[in-house]
Amino acid sequence: MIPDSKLAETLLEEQLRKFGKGTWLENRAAAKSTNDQNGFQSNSTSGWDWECSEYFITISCLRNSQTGELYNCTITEIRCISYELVYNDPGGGGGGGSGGPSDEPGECDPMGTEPCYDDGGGGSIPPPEPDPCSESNPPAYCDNPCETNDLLIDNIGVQMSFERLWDESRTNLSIEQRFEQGGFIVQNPNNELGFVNFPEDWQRLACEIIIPENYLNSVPSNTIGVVHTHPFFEGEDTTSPNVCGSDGTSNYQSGTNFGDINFVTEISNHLSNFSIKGYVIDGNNITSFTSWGAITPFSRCGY
Amino acid sequence: MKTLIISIIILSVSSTGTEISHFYSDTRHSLNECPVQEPFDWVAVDLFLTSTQHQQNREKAGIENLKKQDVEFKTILSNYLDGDPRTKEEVTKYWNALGEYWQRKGITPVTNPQICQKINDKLSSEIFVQRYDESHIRRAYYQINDKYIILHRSTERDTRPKPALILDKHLNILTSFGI
Repeated sequence: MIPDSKLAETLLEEQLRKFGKGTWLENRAAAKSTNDQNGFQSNSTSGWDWECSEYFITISCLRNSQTGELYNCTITEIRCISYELVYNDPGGGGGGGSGGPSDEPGECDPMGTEPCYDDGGGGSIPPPEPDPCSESNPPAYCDNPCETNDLLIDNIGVQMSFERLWDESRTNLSIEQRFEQGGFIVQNPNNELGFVNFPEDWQRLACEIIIPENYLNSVPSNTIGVVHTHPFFEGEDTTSPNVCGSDGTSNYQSGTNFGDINFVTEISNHLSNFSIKGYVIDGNNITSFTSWGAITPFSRCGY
Repeated sequence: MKTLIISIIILSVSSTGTEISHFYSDTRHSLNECPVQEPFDWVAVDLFLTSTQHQQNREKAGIENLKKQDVEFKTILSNYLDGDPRTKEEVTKYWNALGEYWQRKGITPVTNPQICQKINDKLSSEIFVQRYDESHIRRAYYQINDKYIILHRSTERDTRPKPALILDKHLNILTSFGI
């Protein structure tokens, strides 16, 4: 069964309409294809289904070099990060009232220790909740989930974005061959989180992302976080001319830098939202910082 | 005519470089002037003095670890604002509180033109520092005991660490690093 398609369409439309007219129709086919490929459809047995209650959508856009504005945005990934069980056979027989689930203690379990489900007369048993961690190639958060009490870091979708950014940073290669990667964590009107990659034409290098002059026009208006990678591990030497040169260190340590903080400060000022947070992820830690420069380190998790 | 065109191009590029941040004013200066220190620059001072990533640089420069005392800082901060900053003005107040905290610890912006001129002259004579001048602007000088922190900012926008130097009282370079 495909999850609530109206909800999915609404979400996609919310995302795409932010980036200019026509993008929704242009990308609808791609979105549906991605939707299908990601396989977040719930299992289905008679009477019960898991429907997606929270999506995490990732978007990539091109950037108009003259104006800095984003255009031609495409959804690169839709993931369901939370499900809810729904009973979809309201006419399923007597004795069930509305036909929905009941977890009143004692109704079918006298001890009240297990959730009870009225089978609605159809005899169905709820299927197990879809679990990405039980798949053959589970996300990294399954082994090392974030429990930092930072609402953005602890979001499963954000952790999966961290994992993708880290993979794209190519930290399995020599230090000169790596890239910083990054993007914007956004919050949609329904409070669900999503991710918008930094525009592709922002040049990625091992020690920096070069940001164009008019970059503020590329920042989504619903940005609540900005993340980028430092593709290094503590103890590495970043002083190679092809890495950080004299701005590097012979003994890299996790953290952020003045340019990173200024970047987030400028974005916060542009959007008049000083609750926007910055995140730097590296091989050992996640460094969180506010737009005014207060820093909080966390151990690496989720990627 | 050719010289005039080149001059116009150089002036255009220079003026673009000054719009580096909503929080920065143009701190470029003639050689005998001190850079105009901005409240935001205290973030770099704080980063240098407190973060583990700069411990090695502090050791090289012979600057002791100065763990920021949260209670003391919050007391100072409470004189400026309640709770987290929510506006540009409040963020600036936070940075001013940060500045007041570090000034109480003896870290002061260098404002004496004669000292600044000596620093500028010294840096201008250092070949490896001259490289900075091609793509960076000296943005702030601070004194810590008998040493100086020299901060630069880039004329380009990027996430790269920005060059910084520590000078001794004779203006010899003790260490250079990115911050």
